[in-house]
Amino acid sequence: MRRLMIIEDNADNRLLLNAILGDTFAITEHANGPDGLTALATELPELVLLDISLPGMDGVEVLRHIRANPDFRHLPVIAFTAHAMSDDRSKYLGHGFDDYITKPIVDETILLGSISRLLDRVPA
Amino acid sequence: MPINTAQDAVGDVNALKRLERFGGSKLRAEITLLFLQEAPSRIASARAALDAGNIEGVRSVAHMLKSSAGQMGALGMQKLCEQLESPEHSPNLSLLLTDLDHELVRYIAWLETAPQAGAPT
Repeated sequence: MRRLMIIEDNADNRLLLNAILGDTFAITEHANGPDGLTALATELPELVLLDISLPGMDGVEVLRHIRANPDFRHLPVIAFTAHAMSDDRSKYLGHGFDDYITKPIVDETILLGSISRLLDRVPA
Repeated sequence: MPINTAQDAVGDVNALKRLERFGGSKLRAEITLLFLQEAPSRIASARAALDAGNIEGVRSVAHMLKSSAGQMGALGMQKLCEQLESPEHSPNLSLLLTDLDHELVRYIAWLETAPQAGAPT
């Protein structure tokens, strides 16, 4: 199974993502950015689904730390956010996220398609 | 003047059916329970932030609750959270939080009448 890390402070969203992705991927989850960053080296995720509005260190800052680490510079990271204004997508892609998925999840195939496309770039 | 009115839609049954599609009646029940446990304390923490003059704190809680409300199909709550997040509604935050309290009560009542898992549409 491919390894996914979820960094999301909302317990209901973690539950939902596990329901959608748990049969297909090996998932680890963290409720805040520092815990996720600490676990990168041991869990070695192949893709990170990263909430933007995290308490303390927000998702953009977490991404900055990921990109600053040579071991994870090219790790695919999807912004997972309830910010859904018309210019938010380009804003987050501009920050260096590989894709952008909005909450609430209405069509799970959009999420699954994004993950699949990004994982295709990463050797299993 | 209330921001939300009793005529507005309270809930979206399609959102509940989506939860069932994602994870069956078990997921729907678990997420519903989490939402009903957490929503009152989130509204209370937004109220506490407002009382402390922490407008960003109010917006942060509203943002989190908006996502959960959207997933639960709590349309009225989602709309109120969007308004709480918006700078243009800053003068109305106290009123919006009161409306959000009332809307949670309306949503709970709506949930009790919503079709249960597996029920025909």
